[in-house]
Amino acid sequence: MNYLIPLMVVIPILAALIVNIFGGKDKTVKAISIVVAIAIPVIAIIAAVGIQYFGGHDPALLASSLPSNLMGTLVASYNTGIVYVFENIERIFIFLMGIVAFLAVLTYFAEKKEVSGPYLYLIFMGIASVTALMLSNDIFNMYVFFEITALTQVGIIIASSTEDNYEIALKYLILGAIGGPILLLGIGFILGTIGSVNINDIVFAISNNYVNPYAPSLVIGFALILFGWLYSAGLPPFHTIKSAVYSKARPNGSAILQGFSVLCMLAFGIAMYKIFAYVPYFNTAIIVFAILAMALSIAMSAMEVDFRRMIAFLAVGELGFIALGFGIGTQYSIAAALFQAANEIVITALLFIGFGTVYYLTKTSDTRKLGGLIAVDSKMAIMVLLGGFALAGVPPFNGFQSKLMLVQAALDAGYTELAILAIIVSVVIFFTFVKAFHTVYLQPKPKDLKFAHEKIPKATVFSVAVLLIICLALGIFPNIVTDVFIPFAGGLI
Amino acid sequence: MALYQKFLDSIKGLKSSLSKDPTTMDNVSGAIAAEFLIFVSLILAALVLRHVSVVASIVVVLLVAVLFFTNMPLAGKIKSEQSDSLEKMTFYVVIVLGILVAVIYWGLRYV
Repeated sequence: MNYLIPLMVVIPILAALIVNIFGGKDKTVKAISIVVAIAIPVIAIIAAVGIQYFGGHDPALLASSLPSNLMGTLVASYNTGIVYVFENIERIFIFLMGIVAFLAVLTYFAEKKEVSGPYLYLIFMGIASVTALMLSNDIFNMYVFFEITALTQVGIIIASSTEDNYEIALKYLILGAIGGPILLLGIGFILGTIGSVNINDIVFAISNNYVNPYAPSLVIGFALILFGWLYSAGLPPFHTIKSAVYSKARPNGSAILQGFSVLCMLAFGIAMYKIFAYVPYFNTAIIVFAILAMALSIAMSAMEVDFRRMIAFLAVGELGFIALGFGIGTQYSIAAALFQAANEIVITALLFIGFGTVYYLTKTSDTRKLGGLIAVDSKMAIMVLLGGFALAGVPPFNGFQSKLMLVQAALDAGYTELAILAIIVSVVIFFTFVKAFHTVYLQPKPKDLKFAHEKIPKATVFSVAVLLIICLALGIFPNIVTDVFIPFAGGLI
Repeated sequence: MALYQKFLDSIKGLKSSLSKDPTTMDNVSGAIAAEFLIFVSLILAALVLRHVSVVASIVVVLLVAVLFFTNMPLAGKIKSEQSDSLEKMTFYVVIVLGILVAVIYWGLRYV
């Protein structure tokens, strides 16, 4: 039994409860938070690959003790409990999410003297939920943890105390009241048809023709789960509310929120791919939403004058690249999508925290009121610029490697149009980012620009530097992760 | 003096009317980039249809081109449709849900 697997979920939940209890005692809360934030990526690294059967429900052992009339039936192979699967792909994503969470918490402590117990509670509870989402092999269990993640996202916006945060949180809740139940309804259709919510059981039942793969209940289940996936990821038509959510949280909170969205997208995307890849035009449906996400979000970001909203739209647009990789549906494209997802967690966190320093200094995110900030901290400005290059896909950063993989995969699969589109979208991302950078850092400082803080905290500079180093490392040595992603993608198709 | 005052007032009026207008070179360049991106995306998305049917792809490309040129600029219209208005967001969410269920449920019967 590998107890480190469930501990990846248990430890952040315990930390969430403890920091909330010790809410008023800043030093204790900070100490616990830092220790736990370090522990999460460390456990992800040291834990051995394995499977955790909750309640000891190992199907191989149970099968031998079944009554004779059940032996050899479909039910005999079913998993009767929740199963967590921890492989190297989960290791990479939980590690990256843990690193981002640690740096975001560190930045939060540096920028805010009085720490909020509920805010940290929400962050740790969210981390526990997305970790469970990545580990779980049970779509109902995934739904439960996804709903907890969605609620923590709402809570993080409310606890952020920014302008209009309550309004956006309420709107996200209302739209979630459509997306969440629809996802659950889809899972209900699957359960009703197959009798199990374990992904392996569902795949086994469908691939061995125990059920009609085109049964109306399965087809409608696919449609509803696809819609739920759009909601969980923030793909159109949920891209507007998702970008609003990112832009209304504190910059360190936004860094975590976008990581949550990427992991939710991956977990449900992989599950959907395992179960429904046989459905005709499955890939086409995903490509449609990928194109919509890229075109609409990046077009919106190009027209945006609020830099936090601009980065938020860029983050949602980048999700389109991940979806595109899944939509093309080859081993190489899915590996590129996974690589792009890993990169997005890091790059977007860098930009949220890095550009967040502008908001920290001036308390405004309106680019029309900003300028000349390179004089305040040129090192930070350069790191943000390099982060923008990574996002746009400029070598030698990680964004370049994943986008190159994606373009090559599109060309290999015969989707020349999608390869061209990916390149054009990257060019517009570059243009949008450079435009915002020029406005905020390089144009003359407006006379009426006032500063709320004089200096950027060292911890924030450290966080951005670490994220930039990861971007560079993954750009120069992409095989650190692609050696894991390519075989995984091969097993998926 | 009266003439000078009139001139000064007209300049002040012009300045205040300009300051109300948020349009800058950045906005214009952003809007043009968005316009091109939307157009190119629509055409390329229509071209992807060739994997399903070449004839359908040609028809849709021509339709998209005609619709685009008769309705441009689209970027502003798309921006106003993607505001934070709950009504608009809910409208599009429900529309997409309806289309998805209809296309997948009934569409797969004819595959």
